[in-house]
Amino acid sequence: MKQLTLFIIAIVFSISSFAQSEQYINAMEGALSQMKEAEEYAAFKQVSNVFERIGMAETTEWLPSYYQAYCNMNMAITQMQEGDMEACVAHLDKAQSALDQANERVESNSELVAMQGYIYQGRIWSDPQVNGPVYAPKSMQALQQAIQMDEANPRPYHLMGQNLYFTPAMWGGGPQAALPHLEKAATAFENFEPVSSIYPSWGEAFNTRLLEQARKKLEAAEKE
Amino acid sequence: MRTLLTTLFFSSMIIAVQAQTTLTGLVKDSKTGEAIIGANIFVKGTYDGASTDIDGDFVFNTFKKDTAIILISYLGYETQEITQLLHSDTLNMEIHLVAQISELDMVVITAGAFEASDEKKAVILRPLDIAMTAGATADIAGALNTLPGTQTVGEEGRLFVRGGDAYETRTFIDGLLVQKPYSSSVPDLPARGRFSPFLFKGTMFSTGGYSAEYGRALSSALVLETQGLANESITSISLMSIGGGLGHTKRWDKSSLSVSADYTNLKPYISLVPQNIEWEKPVSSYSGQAVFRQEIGTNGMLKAQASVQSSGMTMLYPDMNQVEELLPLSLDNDNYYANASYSEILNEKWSLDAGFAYGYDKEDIIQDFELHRTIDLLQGRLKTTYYPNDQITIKMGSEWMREQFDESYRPDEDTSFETNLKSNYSAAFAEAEAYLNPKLAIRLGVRGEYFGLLKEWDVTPRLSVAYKSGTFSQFSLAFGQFYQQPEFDALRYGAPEKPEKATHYILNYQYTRKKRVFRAEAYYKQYQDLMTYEADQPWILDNSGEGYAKGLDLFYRDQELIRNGDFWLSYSLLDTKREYRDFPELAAPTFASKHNFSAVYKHWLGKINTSIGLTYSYASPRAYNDPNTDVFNEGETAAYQDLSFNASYLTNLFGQFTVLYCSVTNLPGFDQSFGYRYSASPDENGLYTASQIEPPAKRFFFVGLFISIGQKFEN
Repeated sequence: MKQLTLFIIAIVFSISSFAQSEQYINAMEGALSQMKEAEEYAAFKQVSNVFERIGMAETTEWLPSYYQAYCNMNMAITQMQEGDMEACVAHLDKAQSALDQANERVESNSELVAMQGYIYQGRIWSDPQVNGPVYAPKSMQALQQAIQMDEANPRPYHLMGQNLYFTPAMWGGGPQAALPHLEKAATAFENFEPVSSIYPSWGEAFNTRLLEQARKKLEAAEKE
Repeated sequence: MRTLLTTLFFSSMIIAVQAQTTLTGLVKDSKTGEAIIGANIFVKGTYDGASTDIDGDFVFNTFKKDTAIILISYLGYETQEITQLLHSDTLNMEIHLVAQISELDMVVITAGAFEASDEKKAVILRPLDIAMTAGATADIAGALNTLPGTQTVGEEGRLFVRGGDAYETRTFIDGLLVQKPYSSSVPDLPARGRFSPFLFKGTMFSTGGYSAEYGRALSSALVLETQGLANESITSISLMSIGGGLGHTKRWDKSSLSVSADYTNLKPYISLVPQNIEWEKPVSSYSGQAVFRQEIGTNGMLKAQASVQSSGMTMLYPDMNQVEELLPLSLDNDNYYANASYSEILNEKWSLDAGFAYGYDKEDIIQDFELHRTIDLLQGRLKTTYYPNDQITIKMGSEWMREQFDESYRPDEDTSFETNLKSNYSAAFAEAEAYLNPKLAIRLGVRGEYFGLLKEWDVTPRLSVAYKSGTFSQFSLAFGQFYQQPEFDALRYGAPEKPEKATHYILNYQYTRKKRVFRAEAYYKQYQDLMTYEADQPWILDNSGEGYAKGLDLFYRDQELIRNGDFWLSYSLLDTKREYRDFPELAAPTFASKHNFSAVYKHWLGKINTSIGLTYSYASPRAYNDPNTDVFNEGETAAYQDLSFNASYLTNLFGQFTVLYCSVTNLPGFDQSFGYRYSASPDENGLYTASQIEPPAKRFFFVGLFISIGQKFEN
């Protein structure tokens, strides 16, 4: 009887822990499909809230906070496009604090370091004249480190390419400079296999679009 | 056995059914009552929650039972935690979120100070504003001269603040006094600052009522904070119409070193552009500089820098006794400056700053006389800052300086006058700054000073109060007493008993809304114990001088009104009289003008990657003394006007980031005249002959190409 009770208790525990991790994966998958659809500020806000909730419940998982950082980067972009720099900076700060939380929960990895490089890029958008000289080298350094940590990760190449694409030519940017990085990213995206269904896999669609645009612009420039 | 399992199964079902609670409600801003859209509301430790919709409403279910902690978070608001007993099926809640107090909502002590910083939000200027002001040609004093409270004195190039003489404004680098912040120049030829604005990440220009941290300045403190670690390794080349320079910066993980050398020579420029001055040897100078930074541990920073400058010129200059007669006058100057400072955040409550500096300056002036002068300054400073809590900051510190002044004046080959003066100075200060609440701040300081040369002790109080009167507006006031020893060249024949003294009273109003700032400042400054002497008997001296300055400064900056444009307007009204040095009576000094106005405009032309700037300055007539009349300082100069232009074109040269910069002063060619210089003694008719003081040339043109060879965006 005693043994049986122990057995039952063991089963109940394993079921509950299994159920919990399944619940976690289900919730993450749900949120990620929501994130894929998101285009506008409000949608990113919603899904960022979902990640915040999951992150608060699962205090040892780093992915919820990582995605929360990513959502805030997207919100920072929409705010920047609307010219609300104060809100843009607030989202950059939030992205940084979410990333800091992710970093506390897991040993550093290529995705986290790439996200750090991305946030540094965001600092440049908010005040290019002042922040450019400080954060451009920091971002570059982080993205290079992310490549060193995992050469197969397409996101650091993508972020480098994206940043160069939008950087004026006089500062060494433009489509020509961006092209090799976007191409590298495209190859890496093709060969990239996420560790799991909830592991980072974002960036491919935008990379393809930027690559097309960059090629078009270069062709147009050649014709002239 | 079966019963046990069944019981377990059903009891868990029952718990699940019982625990289902629906939470619904509204999230609002606690102050405005407006609905908050997109707030995150959830039960802590579960995934159960929702975002508020466009009306601030939310609804969600939770399986959590009994006591739950409900969290509500939203960007820019304090996260709220509510402990709630979940007992009923539906629970309705109204939540009031409290907006976080941002730096911009806090009151700031602004009386008397203009601050430029990238790190602080509540400042009026950015460091780049100082570097890019038209007419200033990247000269710190030139740029600050477009701010209210300053008087344009075209033939000087130094800062004159609120009726104070140039010596009443002192420059501090990382807290350490700089004895010779301007290049050496002969009278009537404007001086330039020795330090490039690009060396500093923060500038605090106080036109009065400044902190007890600083002393030895009757009118104004210009506090410069040097840059930290260099961002990246970079090589820079500059090619200018007046010279060139080469620099290299190396960045390591925790340290950086920059080394640079510059050479300027005005000869080629002067041969192209007509001059009012006859140059025998136009100004040329060599300079070298090294800047080192080292992070020590996680919270310590060592900063060290050294610079060497050597310059010389020879020009035809009016003879002192016979001003129509021009004689070659040469000026050679060597200047060395080094400082080192260390700051460390010791723990959450304490930080430490320590610094040392040494400066040496040597001038040799030769006409039909010879004047050799050296001055050196050695100083140390120690400051600790204590933060008992978020609202209070207490600074305590002390400083010590030793100066040596040696001068040899030879009016002819057989005569020589030697002056050798040693001066020690020590001071201790303590100052507390407290935010009584987000709307009210007070700063109270005291400084004790000992002037060794005068053997005089003084204790000076400083006080500032700021009150936030509305969301966008605030009032500040400041009071302070300031002591300064007269300059060495006034102490040749003896020292007075006391240092000179000024008392400042300042009332300031500031309105800041987004990118618009308006400020108005009224002040009264009282001078006491100014040193005076008889015009032809400088050894009969005492502290009987006095004076006053009162006025109103207005400033408006707008970065919103014009797209890609940014402008500021400054106006200063000044009423000042003083009796000092050889003044026979209370009179308006020659450097003071009643009205000063500046308008600075900057525009970014994105399509052609070019930034352009225009600066207009006006100064009403100033006094000058005509010894041929009985009334002192009765002469009036013409009003001064200037319109300067600059443009920077950003481009890529050989794949490297390049800036092409050009500027011109006095674009419309206004006549600028700064009064007259008179012979020291009358001619045979008993008249003092005069020569007009005018700028060295009508306009100054400058073209420069600045190339940065840096880290490329490549893998």
